Amino acid sequence: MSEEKKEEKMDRRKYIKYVGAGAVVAAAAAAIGYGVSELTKPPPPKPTTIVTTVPTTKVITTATTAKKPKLTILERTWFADAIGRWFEAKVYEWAQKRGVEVEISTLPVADLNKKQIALVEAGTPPDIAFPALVGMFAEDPKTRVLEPLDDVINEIGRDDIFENILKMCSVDGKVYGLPVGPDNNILHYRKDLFEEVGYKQPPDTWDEMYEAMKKIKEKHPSIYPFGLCMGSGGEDDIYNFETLWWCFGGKSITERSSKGLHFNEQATIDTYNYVLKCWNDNLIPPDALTWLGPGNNNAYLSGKSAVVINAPSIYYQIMQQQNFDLAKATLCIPPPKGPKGDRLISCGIFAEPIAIFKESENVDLAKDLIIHVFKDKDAYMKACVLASYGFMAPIFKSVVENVKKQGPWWEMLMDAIPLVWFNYPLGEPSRAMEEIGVKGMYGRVYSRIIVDKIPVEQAVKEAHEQMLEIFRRVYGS
Amino acid sequence: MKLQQKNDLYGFLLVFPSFIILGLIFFYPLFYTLFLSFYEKLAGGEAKYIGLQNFVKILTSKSFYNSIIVSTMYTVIGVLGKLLIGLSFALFLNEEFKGRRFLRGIIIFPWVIPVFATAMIWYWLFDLQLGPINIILDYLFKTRIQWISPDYALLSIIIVQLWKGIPFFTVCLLAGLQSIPKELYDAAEVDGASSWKKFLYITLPGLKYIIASTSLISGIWTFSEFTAPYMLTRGGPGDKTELIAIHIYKETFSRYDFGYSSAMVICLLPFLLPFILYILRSMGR
Repeated sequence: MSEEKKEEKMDRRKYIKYVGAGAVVAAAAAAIGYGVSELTKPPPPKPTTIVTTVPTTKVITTATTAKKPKLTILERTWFADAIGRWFEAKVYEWAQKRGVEVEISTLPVADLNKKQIALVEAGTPPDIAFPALVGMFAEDPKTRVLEPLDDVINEIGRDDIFENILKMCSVDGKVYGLPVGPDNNILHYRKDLFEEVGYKQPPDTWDEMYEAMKKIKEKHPSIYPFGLCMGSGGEDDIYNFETLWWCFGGKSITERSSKGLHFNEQATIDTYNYVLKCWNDNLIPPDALTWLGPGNNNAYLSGKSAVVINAPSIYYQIMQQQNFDLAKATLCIPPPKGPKGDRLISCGIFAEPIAIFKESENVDLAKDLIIHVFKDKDAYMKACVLASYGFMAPIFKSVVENVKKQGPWWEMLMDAIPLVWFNYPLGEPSRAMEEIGVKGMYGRVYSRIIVDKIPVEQAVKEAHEQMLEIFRRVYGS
Repeated sequence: MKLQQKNDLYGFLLVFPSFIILGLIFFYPLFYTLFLSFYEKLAGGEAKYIGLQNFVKILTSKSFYNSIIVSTMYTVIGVLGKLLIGLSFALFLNEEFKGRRFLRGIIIFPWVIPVFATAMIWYWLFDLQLGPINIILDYLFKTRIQWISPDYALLSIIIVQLWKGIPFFTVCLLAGLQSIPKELYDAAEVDGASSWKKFLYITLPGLKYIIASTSLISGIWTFSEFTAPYMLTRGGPGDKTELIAIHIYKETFSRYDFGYSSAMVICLLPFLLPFILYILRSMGR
């Protein structure tokens, strides 16, 4: 190596030495400085006491001069903006009154579920999740991380809440979330097309509906009257199937064990046979097997279908698009009755409840917030029901009565509320049913029957075996 | 301490912080996943040691093997398609013609569009009633294709993969083509070699290593692809397009058992490891 290069190498070595030494000195100075600042910090002031309106003998303690207590809230983005705005306005109104800091994080609903799981796993759950995964976080006592809210429900008015809706967040007699408004998956019904073929009133039974749809098809060959979602994406396919199935006498779950599964029964076979009949008569759009969430929405909005099972998010879209002709021609009604007179609506596998994590340092504050938000039923009605065209089924009986006064269209929609169920007939959260729904197992049966052309009974039996495996794994028996 | 040892120590100290970061973001998750695969770990619950039970369940699961088969078909057909079409584009763009620069820029366009936007665009393009592809097919041939049907769903997601992935191959192969000395072609021309012979005996050997490494890297990425196929089909209809990544995702967020999901990821390693090792060896060479 040349002399010059050797010299250069020596200088570089010195340079590295000095930089390293400098970094060590800086780190040491920072550590000393931090230690000194901790030692000389003034002690926190003594807290003062504020009595709140929570109807227990507990008091909520807040510090008035030191750090404000803080609530972290994980919220979903809402289909109708008004719902999000209502919630946030009520939260900030309460926060200002109570001197509490709130931090609301808003995420799309699909991301919200994953985020909740990640935060619980990390040991840093939010104080409040809206909506929370009640099935995952409350059903099993071993993984239960939610706080019971019976005192909150009592304060808001338990008698004013529909029992079928309250059950959606109940486990072992306790309520772990307040279902804010489960999806009201009624029928969007083109009354103009049905009136054309002689049906002045909506058909009363599914068999009458089939006859009416056939007549519509004869009159309008390019229309596929029944926009039934038959995909297996674990979205609209769930409640599309369950609504029909429960009307035909089907039961999702009766108890939390393998004995509680009733898939391989005549009602299920009858349901799939009914759909197969509609499929073979070209009453269902040929791409319905592949539909994800928006498939049936698009079918109705484009005029391809005359009847779809969906929450009034479609009607909301119609109004947003100012398609007043379609709005006038649309009724939102309960489904027809099944062969034995059953008539039920599935809200899907998630009840969209607001819930509090029991690890929260401010459980009482969180409860007080929920009471504040939901006690104002007038604001709830305007934002969650009227502004969204009934997208969410109102949970309060008094609200339903007030909404009906808006007119006959609203009356028909509100008549559906007592029919809205979740995991019928158990009515309570079930991780097994969630897994079955998310995996699109109902939709896969359609594929087996229509694409693989196996008999309905065999396809139902196969699916039943797979569901049984899930039930046994989740419930241990 | 000897001079060489001192130099080594300085070098080690300087890379040590990077090594810590690499350890935290790579080795720790890897070893934790391996550790978790021997446990049942429900969200919010305690981990329970269950030995090899997760692996037994996975290796006896029809749906796991179905997803491996679907992913393999998706990868092999997709990578071959990208290679052939990418090579054609690269050969074309290697020629001198007016507008070549513009075309070279445009070709990257699908690559830069975010994956979710790609999926949304193609979801609309494939629509049976409103999609432009079917409107054109109906106009020209009086027929429409249900792209996301059980018969065509896998083909549909492969088409999307091709559209998105061809630019990567084109760019890599074009760079490779430009590194082949022109004198070889001139010499072949003098000897009377045809275009096909030049391609066989000059171009392909010159691109050998680039083709191998690009295909392998693309293969590894494609095998673990998730976003676009999930957005288009959610793994359906049925399980026709349930790629392994979609399968793992669905199992994770329906069972909420992270031990099982970790075991599925570990079961994937034997499929990917040979390719990873080959690439590492080639890079070393």
